[in-house]
This record gives sequence, structure tokens and C-alpha cells, in this order.
Amino acid sequence: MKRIKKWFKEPLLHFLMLGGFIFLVYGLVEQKDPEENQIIIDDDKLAHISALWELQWKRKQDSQEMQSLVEGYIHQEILYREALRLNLDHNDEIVKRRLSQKMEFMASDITKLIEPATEENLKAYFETNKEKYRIPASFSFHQIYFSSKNHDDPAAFARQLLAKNDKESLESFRNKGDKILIEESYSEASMQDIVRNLGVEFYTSLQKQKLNEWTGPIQSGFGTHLVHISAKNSSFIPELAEIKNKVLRDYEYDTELKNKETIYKEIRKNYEVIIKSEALDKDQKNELYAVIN
Amino acid sequence: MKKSIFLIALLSFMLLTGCKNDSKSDSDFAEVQAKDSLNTVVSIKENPLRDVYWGDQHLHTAWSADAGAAGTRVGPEEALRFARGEEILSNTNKKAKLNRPLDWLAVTDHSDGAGVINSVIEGDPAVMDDPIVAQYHEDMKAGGEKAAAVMMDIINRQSTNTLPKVFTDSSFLKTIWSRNIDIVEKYNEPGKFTAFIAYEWTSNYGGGNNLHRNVIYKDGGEIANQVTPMTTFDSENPEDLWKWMENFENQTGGSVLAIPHNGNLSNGLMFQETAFDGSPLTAELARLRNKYEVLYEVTQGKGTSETHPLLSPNDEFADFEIWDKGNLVMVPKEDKMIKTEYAREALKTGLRIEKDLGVNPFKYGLVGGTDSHTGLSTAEEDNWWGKYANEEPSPERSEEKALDFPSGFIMAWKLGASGYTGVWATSNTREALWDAMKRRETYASTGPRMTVRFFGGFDYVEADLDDLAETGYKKGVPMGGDLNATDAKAPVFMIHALKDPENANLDRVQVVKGWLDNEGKTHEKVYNVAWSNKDERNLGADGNIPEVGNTVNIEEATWTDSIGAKELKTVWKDPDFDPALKSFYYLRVLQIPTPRWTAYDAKRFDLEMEDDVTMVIQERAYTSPIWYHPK
Repeated sequence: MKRIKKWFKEPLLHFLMLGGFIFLVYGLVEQKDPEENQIIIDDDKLAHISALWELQWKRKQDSQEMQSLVEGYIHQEILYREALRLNLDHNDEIVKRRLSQKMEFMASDITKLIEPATEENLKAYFETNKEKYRIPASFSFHQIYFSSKNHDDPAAFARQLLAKNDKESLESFRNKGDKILIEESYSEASMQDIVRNLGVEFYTSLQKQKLNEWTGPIQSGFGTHLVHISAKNSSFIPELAEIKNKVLRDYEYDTELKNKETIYKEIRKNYEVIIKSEALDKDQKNELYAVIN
Repeated sequence: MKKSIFLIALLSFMLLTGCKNDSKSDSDFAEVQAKDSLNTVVSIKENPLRDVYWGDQHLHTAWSADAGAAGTRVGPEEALRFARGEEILSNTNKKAKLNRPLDWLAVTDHSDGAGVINSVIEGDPAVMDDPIVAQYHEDMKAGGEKAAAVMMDIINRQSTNTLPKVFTDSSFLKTIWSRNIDIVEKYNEPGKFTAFIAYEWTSNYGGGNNLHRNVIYKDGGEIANQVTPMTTFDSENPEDLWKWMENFENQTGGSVLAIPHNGNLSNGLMFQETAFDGSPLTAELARLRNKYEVLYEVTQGKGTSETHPLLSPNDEFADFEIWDKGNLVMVPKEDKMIKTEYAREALKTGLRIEKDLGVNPFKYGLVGGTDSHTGLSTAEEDNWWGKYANEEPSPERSEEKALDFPSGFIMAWKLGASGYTGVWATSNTREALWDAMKRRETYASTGPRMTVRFFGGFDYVEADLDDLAETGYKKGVPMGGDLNATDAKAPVFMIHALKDPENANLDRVQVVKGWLDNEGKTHEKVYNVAWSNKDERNLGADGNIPEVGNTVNIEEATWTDSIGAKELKTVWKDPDFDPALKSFYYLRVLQIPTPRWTAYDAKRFDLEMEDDVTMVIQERAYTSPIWYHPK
């Protein structure tokens, strides 16, 4: 059992098995049309054409639509076969792209198989990556604004105001600022909210201000502000249960990336890359080798 | 062919343990509460007076074939992470991060190819109800001989037509479309970040005539997944796309809207006044377009399509980021094509068609998008990651060619670091944002996030500005709305623009008016209605005001806010109003001049740019119009 388990956790093996398997089965069941120049429209084919249409229109096609779909199918099939005959599938960037994408999809599917997001895995992942989930400090505060339009030195004016009034009284400063269409009061505003309304510089400065009194002046892209912070929720890391969907998403993403990389590296071992360019000099070649190996 | 697809589908299913994260619908929001993807109830901030949410409705990733071929490796998952503010590795392996996260994103990979049935699929726990399938699953897990026996059994059943029904059910097939949806669903977090399900229908009819449309879904995967996207293999005719959209809505109960873009590369086809086949436009086709195309992307990487100097010779700001040499493959453009390529002219033409057919097919609100094919939605001049992967920041990028065909080329320095969309919505959810888009309460920006309010009514007074949003909605309609005349009163507009706190001051706000006269001719006029440095800048008799000035130091790629205003506002009444004429009004908000991305590149990489390279830009925002309908 233990051996099976280990086998089970080997992504490359899975990947190769799956690939080989598909190849094998595909070869076995692929029914060749009896003659190369025949295109057989049997019930299976009709059902397939019809199913594709239904995926897009979610209803049955009428007979006229069906006729034109079959016509389209034949048209495509003939050109497709001719293209294959001419080897047009080779070295086609789009075809290459699509096929390599399919290989990557296989790799990600395998990940879900061998490293499922169990409670245990999620917990371990969360413990290692805790910092990623830190929620930045949020603030409840008031701000008043001083415009350079109304004051030669708005910061100096703000400082004077601070000195002359009762800093601890929220009310004593209200309506002392200049009019601008920025919210005056914010309740439990997140970093995202504050940055959206007042910019990065303002949020950064806000973190250094004292609580429960008017402080500043601090700057934003608009100009000079005084602020009164009534509450600050320091940054914190939530419990796993509260952010489980996020952790799950990141866990799946990271393990998928890791396994895709592992699989690729294993396959890559079977290939030797030789740079034969005459356009590149020796140093450039070595540099390139260093990057790709 | 069909058989092998089912078999392969089956095989990969069997290799899965069935521990799939079954994402739940988030369509059943309460007013202020919603369920997230784990079905936990989260409370969502709702503001009836609406906030502006910034995003990009147009982004391609490695899953778009043309992007992939050009070296893009950033997929939809990384693209969403990037838009949310995370640092990711770019296509050229550089660390990339937005200065500020976006609030929402629509990944719009090309639908051509997205509906292709993929040979590898994920298992669905529901199929385990079938005893044969359950046994397969067990046997496959056991491996070895048992697994081989499964394979033989499948082949046998296939040939005798006794395969479990689930494998012949077409809904079982996993398309790239479904995979795309799975990813988008994971990143949609109501209240925090909205990820729209979307795709681009990419018709290049007639060889490079850009008729592209982004299709944006309101609903979640449970609706979107029921139907595969329309592709241009099915049809290159936009009328067929609208029919597909109507059918989608009827069949699924879901909602979609389409956003056309790059009329400037359509060689006259985007806003042609006939049906697609050249026959006269019918009321039915106009109705479909009016219903499904409520927004137009007016600015993006491949040029800005508000208006053209030939169409608006009296508009001193018309010559802005213009791409008018040819279509998408550089089939040369003739001057006469320009008339049916630009937004302002289309808005005017729409009034005329409405008079004849009773419905306005060009009733567009305005949005911006990047159309980046890098998976990186960037519209910041100093942090612009290019249109294609080969245009990520490098000393060479400005000298490369963005489009290069035998008939002509366009230099990459002509690409714009543009644009984003501001949406006025009650909360940051799919439903609220989509509804706002549908009612056209949106505006386009070439990058900066200035806050722009625009209300139209008949009774606004100066004092209402103090209570802008509340009176705005109470006494009139916001951008995108309709004003229906009850008497001969002239409309009054409340206008407010606040600078982006992370960007430059504002130069001016303009009202752009278009109207249809009694002879059936259309007209336009641009009014300067609010501007900075008023003590030095007076409105001339011709309606113009002196330029705001220019503080840009090109060499250092810097500017100062010593000119311009933080905030511009006014209540404005149309001085040339005629109550009998159909008209529309929209705002254009201009920033003071700032360094263009080319100037940042020159500084960063110590480059000498050619003389013809534009180094300074006046960034701007365009709001959706407000339409005036005579009695």
C-alpha cells in the first residue's frame, strides 16, 4: 500500500501514463473511414455535429440549420484532410500552442488527483504562507483639506490651526478646511478604500498618526490634510477558516505550478538542446545555454 | 472522432479522485449580503449614491492564440492576480506589479478556439452515481491489471453502444471555455474584486476590418457555462452575434452585453448605416444593436477613437492618439471611411437613424480598455507593460513595429498606454457593475483615475453642487441617461471632476454636444465649461481658452502640479439650445500635460527618440452621453 501511495504521488509517472494511455486508446478506437477519399456521415457524426451546435445555442437545430452544419462540417473536413496531407499542421504556431496547452491542462488535472486540497494540506500551506494573508490596517477617521488655492502655505496654516485649537475635540476642527469633494469621514476604511479615495501617500502617512486627536499635516495628491483617527484596526492575519477559499485557491495554484514544472523538467531531461546558430557568437551561445539549461 | 473524444474524456475523469472544488453560484445576493465561493455569507458595502470602480473590460492572455504565438505566457489566472495588485512574473520573466490594484477585470480571450472540445476533462462527482463509473474509478485507482481491464471494457462497450450515459452527454465535455470560467469564478470576490466572465468575438471581416466585440456576462459560471461562445468560424457578421446573444438570454435567463472597439481599424465598417450585407438597415437590426451594444470602447492601446481631425476640424483636441493609416492588416484607409469609424460621429448618426427607424442603433456609452495581449492590464505611462509580449519594457520596444504588413506598418511608439473604465455602481459586485454598464453609467479614461460626475436635468442650481450626488440623482439623470422634455426648458448639467490623487492636475472640462437639425443634418460643438488658472485664462469670443501650459521636463520624465486644478465643477446650461432638436451631451476632461510612456522609456533606458515620437500627453476622460429627447 505504501508503495502504491508513493507511486500515486509521482506526477511524471501519472502524466506519462495518462499520455500513453490516451495514445493507445486513441489508436485502438480511431475508426478510419474505409476509403481515404470518403467522408462518412453516420449517426455518430450527425450527433456530434448536432451536439456542438447545441453547446452554442442550447436548442435543437431545425433541418435547414442542420443541413448547413453538415455542409460546413464537410467543408472543414476536406480542407483539414488536405492540410494534413500537405503537412500544414507541422510547425504551425497556433497548432503547437494548442497542443502544448493541452499537455499543460493534463498536468494541472493530475495535480488535483495527487495533491488534493485536504484539510491537512491546506493547513500546512496556510502556516507556511501566513504573511501573504495579512490584512493591512484599517482606519476610522475624519480629514479636513487645505487647498493651495486658498493658502500660500497650506501646511503652515494647518499647523497654526492645530496649535490654536483643542486638538482632542473632533468638532472644533470641522468646517475649518477648504471645500473639496472628498469624503470627510471614513468608517473602518480598508487600505483599498483609502488608497482609492486619497492615494498611497496619504495611507502611508495615516499609519504614523496618533489616535483620538487632530494630527498632521499629511499630504495626498490633492494637497494638505489634518486627520483625526478615532479607531485603528492594526494589520492582522485572519484565521484559516475565515479565508479558506482564498487559501484553497492559492494552494491549488501553487501546487499546480510546482507540478507542472516538475513534469516539464522530467520530460525535458529526455531532450538535448543544441544551439547551432551562426548568427550568435560563442559568448552569446554560452549565455543562452546558461539560461535554457 | 466523437468516440475517441468521449474515451479520452473518460480516461482523464477516471484518473481523478473527484475532489473537485465545486464553486457555488453567487447570483443570489441579498441587498447587502452575498455568498462567496465557499458559500459563506459576506457583507457587502452598498452605496445608493454610488462609487466609481476602476477596471479593464478588455484583456487578452496566453489563452488567446495570437497572444500565445507572440510569446505571451501569462494566463488568465496570473492576469487576475496581477489586476488584484499581486506581483507576478511577466512574459519576459520580469517582476510586474500595478501601482494600484484594479477593482474589476474582464479577461476577454478570443472565442475562436475557446469552445473547442478539449480532450482532457475534470471529473464531476455527479457521474459517480453510475455504478459502472464508480467501479471504473476504483479499478483505475488500483492500477495495474485492473486499470488495463477498465480500458478493455470501455472499448468493448463503446463498440456495442453500452457505455454509461454520462459519457455520451455533451455537457460532460470540458471546453477551454469551462476552464476559463472555473478560473474567473475563483477570483470573483463580491465586495472586493469583481472578475467578469467574458470573451472577445474577433471578426476581421474582409481581411483585417476590425469588427471586434467584447462580450461581458452578468452571471456566474452556472449560467455562462450552459452555452459555448460565438466564434467567427460560425459567423463574421455582428448581426449574428447579437442573435446569439438574444438566444443566450432566452435560453439561459442570463444577461450579456457587447462592447465594440477599434472602429478606427475597421476601414469604415464599424458604424456603417446599412445592414451588414449592404441592404437598408431594418428597425429589427437597429433594435438588436441598441439592446446589446450599449457601450463603445473609445480609447485603448491601438489608438483613441473619440473623433478625428477630419470629422471635427474645429476641435483643437481632436488630434489625439490617432491611428488612421489602415485597418488591422494595414489595408490602406481612404478618407471617406473615417466618417463611419469614430464614436462622436456615430453618436450623431444615431440620432438621424433614430428619427427614421424609431430606434437608435448607435446609443453608446463610453468605456476604455487596454486590449493588452500580455495578460497585464496596465494603462500607466510610467508602468506600461506593452501591447504584446515583445513590447514589454526594453530599450528596443519603441523602435519596433506594432503592425507590420507589406502594405504598411505602424511604429510601436504609436501604441498608447491606455485605457481604463470607471463604473458608477452601488457596490463592487458583478451584478451592480454590470447593471451600471447596462445603464451606461460609465466613463473612459486614457489611464488616470480622475473622478467624474455628470448629471443632466432641468432644475439644477449652483447650490446643488454642495450636495452633488444626492441632488444629482434626485433632480435628474447621471451619465448614460435620457432626458425627456416635457416643455421647452433647456437642460442644465451638473459637472464635477476631481483629479486622480496619484496623477496630475486637471486642465479643463468640456461639454461635447451633438444634435440633429430640422433638415436631418447633424452637427457638433465643443464647449469649455470649467477650467483651471482662471485668473490667467479667459474665455475668448470664439469659445476657446488659452492653453494651460506645460511643466513637463522630457529629459527627466517629470512634471509638476504648479498649473491646473485639483477639482473643477460647474452647473452649465446649453446656451444654444433648441427644444425641438434631438441632441446628446458628454464630457471630456483633460489633465495638464504629463510625460508619455515614450518619455519614461527614454529616461529609463537612456535613449534618443526620433523627432516624430510623441513624448508628452494630455490624458483625458470621456463620459457616456446624456441624450435629450424633444417632446
